[in-house]
Amino acid sequence: MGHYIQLGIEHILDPDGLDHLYFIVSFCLLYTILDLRKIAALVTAFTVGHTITLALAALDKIYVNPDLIEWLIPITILISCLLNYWALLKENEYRTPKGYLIYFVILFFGLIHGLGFSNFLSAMLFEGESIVTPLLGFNIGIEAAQLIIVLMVLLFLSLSDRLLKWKKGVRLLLNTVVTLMVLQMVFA
Amino acid sequence: MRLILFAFVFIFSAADTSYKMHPLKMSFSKLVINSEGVVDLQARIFLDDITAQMQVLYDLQPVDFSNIESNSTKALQQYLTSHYYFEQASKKIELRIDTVSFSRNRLALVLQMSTDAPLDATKEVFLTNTLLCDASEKQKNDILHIDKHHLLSMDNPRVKIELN
Repeated sequence: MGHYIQLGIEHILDPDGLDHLYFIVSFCLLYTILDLRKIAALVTAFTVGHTITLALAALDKIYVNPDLIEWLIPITILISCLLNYWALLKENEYRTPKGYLIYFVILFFGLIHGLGFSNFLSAMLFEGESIVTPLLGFNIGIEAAQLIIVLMVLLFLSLSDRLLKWKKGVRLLLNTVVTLMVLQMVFA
Repeated sequence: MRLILFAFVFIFSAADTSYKMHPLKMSFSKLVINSEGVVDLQARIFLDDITAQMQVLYDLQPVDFSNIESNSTKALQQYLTSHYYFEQASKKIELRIDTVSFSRNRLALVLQMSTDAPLDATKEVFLTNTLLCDASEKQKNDILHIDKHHLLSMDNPRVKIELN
């Protein structure tokens, strides 16, 4: 089990594959450390989404062309970044977004990312091998890595809010960095 | 807002999405050695990585792993002699590709391998796996043997295999 947990963590944190990390950063940007409940709900929505498709794909219940999945994942990140721009620019002062639509959006994006995870998982599973332990371990590893990233982002934002007193600006800047990194990743 | 979204999607549709199919550079093997020393080794190697390396090393174009007699599979067999093998009593024991196939999503090349003769159960045996370590310094190769995972790399290319 530990082996698969480690693979799940490395899958998220590997410097050559930061798309999932960028997505998590993008959906944390609009919040602060005081919004932990909301962030927890968003992470849960994302987790539910990717667990569903990861499990279904690993069990061969669904199949989606890997090329299509790798095309859709950066799309989800860019849409998330666009929504951030809209939320940050529509009002003069920075405000934490309200509403429940975002949870469904994140859950839907989680479905897509889960298919991306399943590509890697299914490549490493052998015929006749029980899927339960690898699936569970891999998913736990992904969750652990996600929580690490979320905490780091929220701590960074808290620190910058306190020191720079420029909430909107820092978030716009980070959002732009993520957008450019994703574009560079794809077009470079 | 809709226009911006549309523009992104439009630009994106022209993008090269082959930038990354899998972030981790890994291969996965499962080794079974029975009481008579007969070896059954299955290796799953990411197809894009092995294809690229075969093109570089053997100037193959196109790279075709569809059957055991193809030039690409023969080249891979040659590649294995220096990258994936057993050692026993200071003697190299090469692996033979018995079948070649693909994972369902065609991301992985699946090799079923064995040795020409059974291993000697009375002697120590070592397995070296440096598959694709010449292509990427980040390459790691996982070998599952009797419920234990061994992670090999260029820095740690060899493992002692316990024979029951």
